[in-house]
Amino acid sequence: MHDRPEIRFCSVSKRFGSLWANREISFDVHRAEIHAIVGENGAGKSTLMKLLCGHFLPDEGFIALRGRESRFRSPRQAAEAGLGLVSQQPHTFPQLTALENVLAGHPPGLFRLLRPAAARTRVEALCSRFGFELPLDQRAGELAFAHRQQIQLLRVLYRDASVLVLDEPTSLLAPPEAERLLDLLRGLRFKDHTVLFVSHRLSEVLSLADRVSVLSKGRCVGTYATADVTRERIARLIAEDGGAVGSPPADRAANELGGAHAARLSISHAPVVEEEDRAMRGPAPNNRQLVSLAAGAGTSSCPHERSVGSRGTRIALSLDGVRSEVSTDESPLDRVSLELVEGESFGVGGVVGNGQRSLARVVSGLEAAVEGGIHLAGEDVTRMSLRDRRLRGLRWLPANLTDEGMLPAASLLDNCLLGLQREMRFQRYGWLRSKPVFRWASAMLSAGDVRYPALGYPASSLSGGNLQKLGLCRALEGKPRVVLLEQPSRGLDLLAQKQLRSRVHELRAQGVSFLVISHDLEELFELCDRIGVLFRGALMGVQNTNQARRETLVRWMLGGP
Amino acid sequence: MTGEWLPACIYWSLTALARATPLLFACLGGLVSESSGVINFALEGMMLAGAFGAVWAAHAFGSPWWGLLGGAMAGMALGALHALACLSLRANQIVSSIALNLLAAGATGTLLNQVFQAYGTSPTVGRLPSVGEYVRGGFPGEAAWGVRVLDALPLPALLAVGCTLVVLFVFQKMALGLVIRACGEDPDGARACGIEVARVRFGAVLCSGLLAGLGGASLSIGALAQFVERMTQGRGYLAIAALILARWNPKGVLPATLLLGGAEALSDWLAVAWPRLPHQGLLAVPYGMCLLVLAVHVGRRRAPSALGRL
Repeated sequence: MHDRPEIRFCSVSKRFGSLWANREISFDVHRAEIHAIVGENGAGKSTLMKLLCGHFLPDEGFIALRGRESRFRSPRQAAEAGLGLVSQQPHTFPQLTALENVLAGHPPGLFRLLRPAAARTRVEALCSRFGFELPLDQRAGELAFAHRQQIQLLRVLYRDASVLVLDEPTSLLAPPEAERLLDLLRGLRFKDHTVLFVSHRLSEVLSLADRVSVLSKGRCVGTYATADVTRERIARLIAEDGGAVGSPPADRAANELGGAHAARLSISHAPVVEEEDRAMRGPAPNNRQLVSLAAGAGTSSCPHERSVGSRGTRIALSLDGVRSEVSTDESPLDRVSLELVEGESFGVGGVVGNGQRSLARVVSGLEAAVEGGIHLAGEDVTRMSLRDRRLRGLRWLPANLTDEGMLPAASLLDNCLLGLQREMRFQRYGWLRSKPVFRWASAMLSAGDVRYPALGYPASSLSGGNLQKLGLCRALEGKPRVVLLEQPSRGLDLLAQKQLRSRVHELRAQGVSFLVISHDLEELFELCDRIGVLFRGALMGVQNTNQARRETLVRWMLGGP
Repeated sequence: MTGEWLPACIYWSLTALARATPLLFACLGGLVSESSGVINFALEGMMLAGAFGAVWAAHAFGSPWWGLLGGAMAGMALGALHALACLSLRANQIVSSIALNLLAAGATGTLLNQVFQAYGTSPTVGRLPSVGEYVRGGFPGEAAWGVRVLDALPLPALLAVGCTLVVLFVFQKMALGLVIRACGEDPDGARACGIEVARVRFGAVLCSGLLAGLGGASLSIGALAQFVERMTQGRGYLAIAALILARWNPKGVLPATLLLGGAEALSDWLAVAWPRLPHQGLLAVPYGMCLLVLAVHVGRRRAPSALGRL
């Protein structure tokens, strides 16, 4: 059927310094196929995609496109050959409007006239076909992350690229949006497009891809047809070379918790996938105990809108009818009230733009609440600055780390210290004590399994997943009381996600509360005792995780009762 | 009184435009360069080089039209140096700009001495005609009132307005404008989109030098007919102020420079109307006006996001 592969990787190697990012990778991608690439953080997936799209040349081996060796010296040449990359960190031009952003990505003849009206019609048609609700006249800098990702996707679609390369496209999308994206990719395959995508979500990979290639430590472990391979097998392959995973996650038997949210979205997957899904989703056994322990008090009462005060434990964080400033891209909070007891983990879900960002900004102190009060362990912190809240034990992992949590050009050491520099153990009379800082930072990073070249390297030298790990390390460092996690497992591989879960449960046992904000329902199910859903800035309802039904949550996300 | 008031008003606005002409050229140059993400503080030096180049070429070829070309080339040569230093050699853009300003000030003085054997001022060369004179050249005979009024408008002013329209067209209607702005917003992103950032920026800085050089020429062979050492008198910096005033918006450049040019014309008028006012105070009027407007002016648009970043 396929006489000639669309893309052939032929023992491709790429080295950065002494580190082999890709080592002798060989596999084929067929025409009109959806080909998934999986692997843990730092396995070289993003590097491989960038090699393909002309960001740099391979040191050894070659990549052949439609039977001819392609040596793209620039992304422009790759784009002209019909390749389109949607990268993990969306590259948008903050002061150009969304529409201009899409057009700028279309490799243009410089002296061509823009035809805004015609372009707008085409982009609008694409938007409505794929269900994007993108405000075309808004500046990209004011748009939510998911919208910026849509811009990237639109650029590629607008250009009519025949090969789409997507680097973790769904990592920040809520289930309804992610499903729509996956449908879109399926549709593109029927129109003879080839899709290469990198993902950490195995359920997605198995339901979408025709074939999957597994990368591990820069090498390609194998390529499999998704019809012939099980989820456990892939998980084992990913972990195999890494060696760090003691037992593959599939060993954890499907349990009732898995069953409780096996009710899926209306778009049905292959039944076999669903079964494997459930097996994977089961959290670690100790996790189960904690969940039932923490949620125990509420099991007898009504599943929705349960009051937590009855637990008799101390309240760590409470929001009381909080409203926030109206902003351009995000629904403001509309009288949100919630209470977190010590050691509890509360999840907030919702479709992008429905107020999760506002919630994070208001709770962290970046934005002031217009109305209502916020109490941290009984103390009114409504008017307190970010720093004062931090001193009282509130920590925050922002969703877009490179914008709000890191200085990409500054060294890793500086980034570790960011926000902690005034603590007495790190400074004396305003002078940083370099040795303790250095020791502390290296200990923290190695404990958090962050893979980094040296502390003096800029933060931008880390891969997306490692950067996230660094952010998590910093958020969980010291003695937090309430930790606000936004999209915590963004870019994390299965192993790192597991480590995150166990770290969260460990801290919760010590009485730390978590407020988890995520677009990913699976993540919320795994990390939280209770899950609430925001819609247009209002809390639609709250469910106990062990009684929660996916359908209800998804209905709330879309504004249903 | 209205019979006199109207012509005075027209005359004053034409003077404002004439005064704004060098600023307008330089400000356009700054806009093109900075939109692509390259800081250009060297406008002052480029103008000075342009002013000298224009006089030199007009002197050498005996025609002010050649002078216009010479001014543009001299400005562009400085632009090429700036691009080379900032883009190829990755020097700091502000340091490179300051170096070029010093170089231009020194080199024009030395060349003035070497070429014309003169200190301070060059010999007089042919001047570009005013718009009125140019029109009258085509239609001999008694000129109408409207044409006589146009005597107050030097030809470069018309050219400057034309350039503004061209720049406006490029930024609003052409893919090129979008590409230049993309380079100034996120060079990495632009590269990923298949834009050849280095080439676009090199072109933008060259174009910036060309425009600033024309600005200098409009001073030396438009307003005067000779080169005077340090004749730009900080107009390059004033052009940057105008650029900030315009918020890097192509639409704002003409109003911003007209405002500053108008302030200059106002200070001239005040000097004639009230001779007893202190001269220095009047000279400061444009700068004071600039500070005032910058202080009260707020807008959504800000400098290109990646200005000064490679």
